[in-house]
Amino acid sequence: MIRSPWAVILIIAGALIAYLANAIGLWWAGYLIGVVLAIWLRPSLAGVAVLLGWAAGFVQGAVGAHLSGSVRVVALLAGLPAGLGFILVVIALVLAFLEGWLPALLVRRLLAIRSRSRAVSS
Amino acid sequence: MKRRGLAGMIFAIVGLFVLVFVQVEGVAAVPPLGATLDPATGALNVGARAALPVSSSIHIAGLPAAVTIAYSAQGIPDIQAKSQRALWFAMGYLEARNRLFEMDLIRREASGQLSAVLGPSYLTSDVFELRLGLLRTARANYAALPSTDRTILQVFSDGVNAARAYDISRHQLPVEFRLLDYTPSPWTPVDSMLVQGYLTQTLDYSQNPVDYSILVGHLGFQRTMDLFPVIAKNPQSPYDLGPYRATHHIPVDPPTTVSPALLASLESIVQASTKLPVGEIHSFSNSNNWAVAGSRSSTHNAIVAGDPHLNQTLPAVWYWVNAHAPGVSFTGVTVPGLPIILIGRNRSIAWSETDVQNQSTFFYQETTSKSHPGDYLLHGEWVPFGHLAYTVKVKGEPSRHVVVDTTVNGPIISIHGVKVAVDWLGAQVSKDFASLMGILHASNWSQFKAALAEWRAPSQNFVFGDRHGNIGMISAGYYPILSARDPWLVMNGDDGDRIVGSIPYDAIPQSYDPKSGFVFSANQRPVTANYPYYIGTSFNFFANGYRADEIHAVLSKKGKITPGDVAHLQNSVTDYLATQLVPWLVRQFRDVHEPPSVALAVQTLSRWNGSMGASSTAATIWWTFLGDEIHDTFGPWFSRYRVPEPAGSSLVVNQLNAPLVEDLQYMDLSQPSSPFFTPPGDRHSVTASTVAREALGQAVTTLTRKFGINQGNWHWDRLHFREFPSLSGVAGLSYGPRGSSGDAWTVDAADGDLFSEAGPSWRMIVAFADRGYAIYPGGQSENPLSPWYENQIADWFDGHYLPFGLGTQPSIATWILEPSS
Repeated sequence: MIRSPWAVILIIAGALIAYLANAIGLWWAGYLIGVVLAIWLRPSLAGVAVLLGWAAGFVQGAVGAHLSGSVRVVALLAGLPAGLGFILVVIALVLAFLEGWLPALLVRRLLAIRSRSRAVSS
Repeated sequence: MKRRGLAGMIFAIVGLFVLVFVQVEGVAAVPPLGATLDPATGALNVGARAALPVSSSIHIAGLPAAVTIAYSAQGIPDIQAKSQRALWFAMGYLEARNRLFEMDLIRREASGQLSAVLGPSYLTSDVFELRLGLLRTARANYAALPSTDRTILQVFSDGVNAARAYDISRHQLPVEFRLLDYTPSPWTPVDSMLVQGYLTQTLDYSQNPVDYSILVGHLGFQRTMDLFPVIAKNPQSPYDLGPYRATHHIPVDPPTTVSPALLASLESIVQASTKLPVGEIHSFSNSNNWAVAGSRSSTHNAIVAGDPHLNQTLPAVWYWVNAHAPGVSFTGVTVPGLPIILIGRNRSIAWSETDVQNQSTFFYQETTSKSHPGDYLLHGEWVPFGHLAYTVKVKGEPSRHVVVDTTVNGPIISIHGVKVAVDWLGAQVSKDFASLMGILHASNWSQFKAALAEWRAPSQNFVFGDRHGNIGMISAGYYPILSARDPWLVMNGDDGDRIVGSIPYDAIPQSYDPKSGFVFSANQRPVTANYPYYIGTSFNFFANGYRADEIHAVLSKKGKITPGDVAHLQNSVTDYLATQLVPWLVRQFRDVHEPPSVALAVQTLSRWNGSMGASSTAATIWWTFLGDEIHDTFGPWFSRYRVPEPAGSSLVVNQLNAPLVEDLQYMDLSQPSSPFFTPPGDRHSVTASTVAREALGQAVTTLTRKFGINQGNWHWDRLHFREFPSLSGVAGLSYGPRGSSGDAWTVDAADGDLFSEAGPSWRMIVAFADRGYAIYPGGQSENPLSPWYENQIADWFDGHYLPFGLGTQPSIATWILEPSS
């Protein structure tokens, strides 16, 4: 497992790729980022990278626009009270984290099985 | 350790599966969260899409020629196109960039496709629309248009689809599409015809014959006709006073009867109708227009005024546009989905519309027999019903198969029991679009009238004024002549339809340059009782005429009329009925000892001028009193004869029942001993005076309970509100409720409910010489976060206007649309 400062660099790279992918609607790129980062990072850090990418995109979209208005309107249209709009943001952040974390977790388990079976065979 | 690893892997796989499912498929009503919550292209980006336009060049494939669009600070586009084809393209492009969701919603509602995106609760609406057949009519209307008009609709559709493609490619579709998880299909010319059909339905589809027959079934024919007469008994203000050009004898056949089985069928129709979305059945009558001739105007030009009253929604039904291309120049309002304006002006003339409200739906009872299943009786023979099969997609549920039975009298509209068919004039082919195109190019009354010759539905009172000071009014539409004695009831369908001809165009209601110097309409019966043709009844469905009375009274005053006077009249909240009835009411309390609170109310009313002002106490007392008096007078009769009063139907006894209000006015002022004041079965006869005094006492008690003993606090705007609901149905995206002036028949009308959702949807005054004023309660954008979402409402509330004319307004941004190579 890679440790700082390479871990920090990989997280930033993952976040940047997630941000760029989200900008063109490729929200599912978070899964791939999780898979790739799992090779070098702990799964939770892969999740953090995707989460940061999502947050960066959201903050950029919010600059100059109606951040509070947006979440209020979306909450209302989704049938929620306007005041619960920020819960949508929390949900989005959680989902972004899971997009990176769950694939990474799976990859790490597979890598572990592979390395264990190699050890047994050698 | 090994077991932990396996468990972790299973957890990851299951977790991933759930996550992918939630993000790709969605759960129940929750849309797929992956795309929905994408920070840059998902729903949360709605604020970024609300930004005002900035000056830019936009290259569009298929654009016929260059177009410049300058936006005013209020979002009103001024379009300068190099060719007419480019103009129609730009109209489509602009409407879709600003109102695509609204356009899609209207075409879906009209074609019975709401359940596919909104779920099973809209199935009733879809089935109703498929029965009524707007989609069938839209296709027929399109096929009947001249090829030049079909081309315009196609070019307009191309413009819509260019905007749609732009929005899709930039992930900028309105947020509602993302949340409802669908992409709008490409726009077609038939969709524009659906929008036209939807408007026709809103203005024209009435089920009053069904209500009428229910009344006959319970109250009996004579009592029904006493209360709901063909010609109202109270004074009216028609605009076409004759002399009339023809005499016509209405044939007489046996009186229509209503059997218990038919009654049960009709009541199920009414019950089902109460579940339909607002607007699918014409439910209230409000629109005004008038024109003042140059000879009566302070400007020496004609003045044309129009304020169509419709459901007030956000986004509004209208889109305001100024447009210029070689050979055509106009300004006014269109309905998103149509390429041309419905109300407005060109360089020579101005026009506006109100609903004529002549009878436009004819219902027929069809005879069926168990020995002839699948057949109905026609001219003495059993003939099979026609069948139209539809598949209705329902979000989250299996599709439904709907079969519509049809007859020569129209589709079967009944749900249970006796089969009832409806012949709705709005289902006929009507070249409205061609007429509107003709109006755009008209420069005088002859051309204007000729353009409307083929207008059939909805019948509209078209007011006209030209730059030479001439004025006119014509109630364009199709007026059938029927062989039936009581066409306002459900008729016997055994002999096929009862239409034997139509009123000639030159004999329909109209007026040109009358001596009075003005013409006016407000959904009142447009002609006097001497008019030789049957065109409808007080219940089916001319308005009670009080707005027309008030307009007539104001315009009849001597002296020149200024545009300011016209604006004042357009915003008038004088209740004409109150000005007639309240002095009588006050007189009923002379020398009568009443409790102090009632005496104070009488004193307040005695000083009142009939203005339903926001802070008026008298207005509150009057409206509450009127409801009580109507209910006390007619309620016992409806109860005694068990007339059903489903909420929202026109069978309810209240202030919105136009014929009953007219009856009451007549009875109070001219027939105070009418037997209807005495409840059925009551031995002691009751007079108008007694009912009125008791009703005022009840009103005071009710208001004291609601607002306290201090009558100074009984302001009308504490009881009466206006609200502008969002088309999304979300209360938080609506405007209001806000306390408001006006009532159901003030010129500045509300819909009559204490929470009004309808009223003047556009106010326009054209004084020519490029003097004009207009406003509508809403804004140009459908994005709830746009500064142009509801920006005109506050000014509309205050009676203010924006400049309205063909001249260029100062702009805040300019789009240059250029054809891409």
